[in-house]
Amino acid sequence: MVAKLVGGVLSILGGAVHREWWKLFEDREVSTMGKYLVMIYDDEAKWAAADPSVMERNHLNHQAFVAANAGAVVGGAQLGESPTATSIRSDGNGGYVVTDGTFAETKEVMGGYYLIEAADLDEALAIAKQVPSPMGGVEVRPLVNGG
Amino acid sequence: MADTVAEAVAAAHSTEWAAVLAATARVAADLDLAEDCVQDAYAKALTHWREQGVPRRPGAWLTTVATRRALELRRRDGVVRRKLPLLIPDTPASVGVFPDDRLRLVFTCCHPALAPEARIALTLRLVCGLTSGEIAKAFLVKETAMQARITRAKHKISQSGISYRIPRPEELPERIQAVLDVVHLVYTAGHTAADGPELTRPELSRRGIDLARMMRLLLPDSAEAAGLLALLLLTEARRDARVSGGQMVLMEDQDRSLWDRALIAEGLALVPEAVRAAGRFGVLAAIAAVHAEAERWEDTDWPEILGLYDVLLARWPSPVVALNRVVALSYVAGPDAALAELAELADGPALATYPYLASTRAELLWRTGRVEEARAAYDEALAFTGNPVEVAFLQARRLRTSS
Repeated sequence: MVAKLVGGVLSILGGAVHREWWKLFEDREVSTMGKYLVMIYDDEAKWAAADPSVMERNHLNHQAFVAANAGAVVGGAQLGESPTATSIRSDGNGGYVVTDGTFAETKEVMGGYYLIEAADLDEALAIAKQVPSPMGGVEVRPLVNGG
Repeated sequence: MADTVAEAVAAAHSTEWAAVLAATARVAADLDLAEDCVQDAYAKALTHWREQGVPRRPGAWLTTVATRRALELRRRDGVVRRKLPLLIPDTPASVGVFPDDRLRLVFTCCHPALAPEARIALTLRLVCGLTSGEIAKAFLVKETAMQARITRAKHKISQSGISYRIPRPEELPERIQAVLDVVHLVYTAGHTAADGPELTRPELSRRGIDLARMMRLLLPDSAEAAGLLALLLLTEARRDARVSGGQMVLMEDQDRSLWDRALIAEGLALVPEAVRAAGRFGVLAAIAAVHAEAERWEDTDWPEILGLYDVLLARWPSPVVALNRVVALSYVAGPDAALAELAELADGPALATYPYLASTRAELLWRTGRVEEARAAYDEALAFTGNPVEVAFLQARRLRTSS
């Protein structure tokens, strides 16, 4: 990311050496970079029915995605399947109700996520479109105040 | 004197609003703040212009006053913690290439990440300068609901980081299409109101044409922008002939002397450029042009229109296109052939509930002399429409089947 931004700054300055370019970098980051959570939603039934080779290919596709977007990907992980989920709701009286399963019952469930950094929503969407999600799709949400 | 000033301010509102707001939004980096400052500038104009005379370039005067106020408030606001993040600015390089800020404003309002109805509302509010109340009235919703819709959309723009900028070159074709679609929807919402007492809402149509002219001006290299403007002008040219005594008049029965020749000439002049890219609006404009060029209904070049609908159907299939193609086919191959194709379309789920399917079938049946079946089809069509003018039209058509 640093190299990319510095390159951009230098090209704006016409390639001239600017001794305080780190200042520009700082300004730019504060004013324009934001973090986005890319949530991968999959139909688990489809995955259960899929051939192991499909999963293997998907795994490689994720590695390729991370490699191609190394400058933007801040974090990410695959999640355990929905039967491993435990939900906790406040009971409104200072206590909790703990239940087995995901928070909302839906056909597509969140199976993984990436935390990415982007200059704006368009850039975030362009990156999110590359996230492999053959059995569903992704949802992109900004972190409040750029994270 | 007072009236001339009020008129000058009103004129500046309708012609300069978008440019003043767009420039102010870039400085303010906040749509709400920009709106407040622009409204403030128009209010100041009323008093200042009375004292000092109307400036030679009202737009420049308003922009200066509004941007100065925005800078002032931003400086003062610096200490107060902001509720929302600022609009993300464009790169200096892009500002140099596209100096007109109105494009930034339009692209932001029509961003595909916003809900379609929010894009329309924002465009009318921020680009056309309509109030929430006026937009609510045009779309027959409560003003509070419209206000909430606009507020939600502005919130999404700042929170999710929709930039105030010209899209990157690789995104541009798709984003231009999104903008033109919004403009088209604004016009069609005015051309055929889905419900309510009137068939048309001329105010929305006028705004749609204003927007199409603006896009043509701002995107001189876009064939689709030319296509959209041509389409709207050629459609608008027929407006006075479409309704007579509150009744809808089919193109077949329209008094073509009521067609606006100036609009037709302007529209036709754009068509050669519009069809160059063979985009959707270009093809639609070409169809409108073929109709416009026919002196009488009998002179209509139906094979040409059918060919154009074939292109539309192959590339941009939709129920409306499929149905219109069947109508064109009926004038090339006869109503029986058209009815056969219509039967196939009716089997598909997309068209089964489409309100104009039954009315089209009714017309075709009437033309083949199957009166009883035509009447039943009119009854079916009547069950599907809510617009009183269309209801009256269908009832009148149905009446022919009873005599």
